[in-house]
Amino acid sequence: MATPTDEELMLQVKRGDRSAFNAIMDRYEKPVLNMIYRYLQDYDGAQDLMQETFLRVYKARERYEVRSKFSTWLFQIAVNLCLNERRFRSYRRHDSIEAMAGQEVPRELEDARALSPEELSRKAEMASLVRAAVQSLPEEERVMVILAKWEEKSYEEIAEVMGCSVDAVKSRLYRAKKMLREQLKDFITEHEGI
Amino acid sequence: MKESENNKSDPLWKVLDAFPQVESHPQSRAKFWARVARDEATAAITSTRWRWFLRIALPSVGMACVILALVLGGNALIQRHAEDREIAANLELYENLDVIQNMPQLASYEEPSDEDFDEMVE
Repeated sequence: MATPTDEELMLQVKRGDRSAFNAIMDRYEKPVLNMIYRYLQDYDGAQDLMQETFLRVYKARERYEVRSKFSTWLFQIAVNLCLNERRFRSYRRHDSIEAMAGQEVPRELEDARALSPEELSRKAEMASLVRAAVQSLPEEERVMVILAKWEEKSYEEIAEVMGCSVDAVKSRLYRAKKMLREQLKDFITEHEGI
Repeated sequence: MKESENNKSDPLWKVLDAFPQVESHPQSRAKFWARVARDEATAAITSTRWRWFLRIALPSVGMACVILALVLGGNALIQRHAEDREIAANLELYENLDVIQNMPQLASYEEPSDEDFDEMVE
C-alpha cells in the first residue's frame, strides 16, 4: 500500500481522523522544531512554538483545501510565529533572544561519548560560533538560510513560505552566505584544507 | 532543493553542520493532544455561554424591559383616567373648592343685600 501524501493525510484529518494527524506530526515534528530552534535558539520556546504551529494547523483542518504543498503551508505558519515571537521578545528587552542566547543549554543530539575531550571542546566552540553567526543574520535572511540549508527548500518554496519573489530569495541568500562566510572564514578554510 | 541551488559540497554549508539538531521532548505529543482537548473544551464552553447569552439571556432581558414599560405606562394611564373621572363627576365641587381656597377672590365678592337675599330665598 502506497504511503499517503501529506495532503491526503490532511484530508483524512479533515474527516475527523486523529491518527492521520499523528502521522503528519511524525513527519514534521522534528523538522519544524529544529527550524524554530535554529531561529530562536531557545529550546523551550521552540517546543512551545512547534506545538502552536501544529495546533493552528489542526484548528484549520475543517477549512483545509489542497491548494499548495502542505509542507509549504506548515512552514509558513511556523515562520510567521517565529517572526511574531521575535518581535514580541524584542519589546521585552530583559527577555530578549540576545540575552538568552548565551544562557541557553541546548539539548542537542550529539553522541559525545565517542569524542575525546579536545574534540568535544573544539566541536562545542565551533557550534557556539556557528550559532552566533546564524543569530547575527537579519531575521528574514536567517529564516532563508535555515530553510535552504537544513530544510533543503528550493528558492521557489522559500519564496512561497516567506511571501516574496524568487529573486529576493536569491539575493538575500547570497548576502546572508557572504556574511556567514566572513564570520566563519577560519572554519571554512579548515574544512577546505581537509 | 536542487543540487545547483543547494551545493552540499559548499564548505560554508559543511561548517553549518556544526549546528546540531534537537529532539522533540518525549512528552511533546501527549502535551499537544492535551492542549487540543483543553482548547476544544474552552472553545465549547465559550460558544455555549455565548449561545446561552444570545438565545436566552438577551431576549429575556429585552422582553422583561418591554413588559415593565407596559405595566408602568398602563398604571400611569389608569391612574390618570380615574382622576379625570373623579374631577368630571364633581366638577362644581372642585371649582367651589378652588374659590374657597382662593381668599383674595373670596373677599372680592360683595355681601348680598337684603333684597338679593330675599330673592335667593324665594
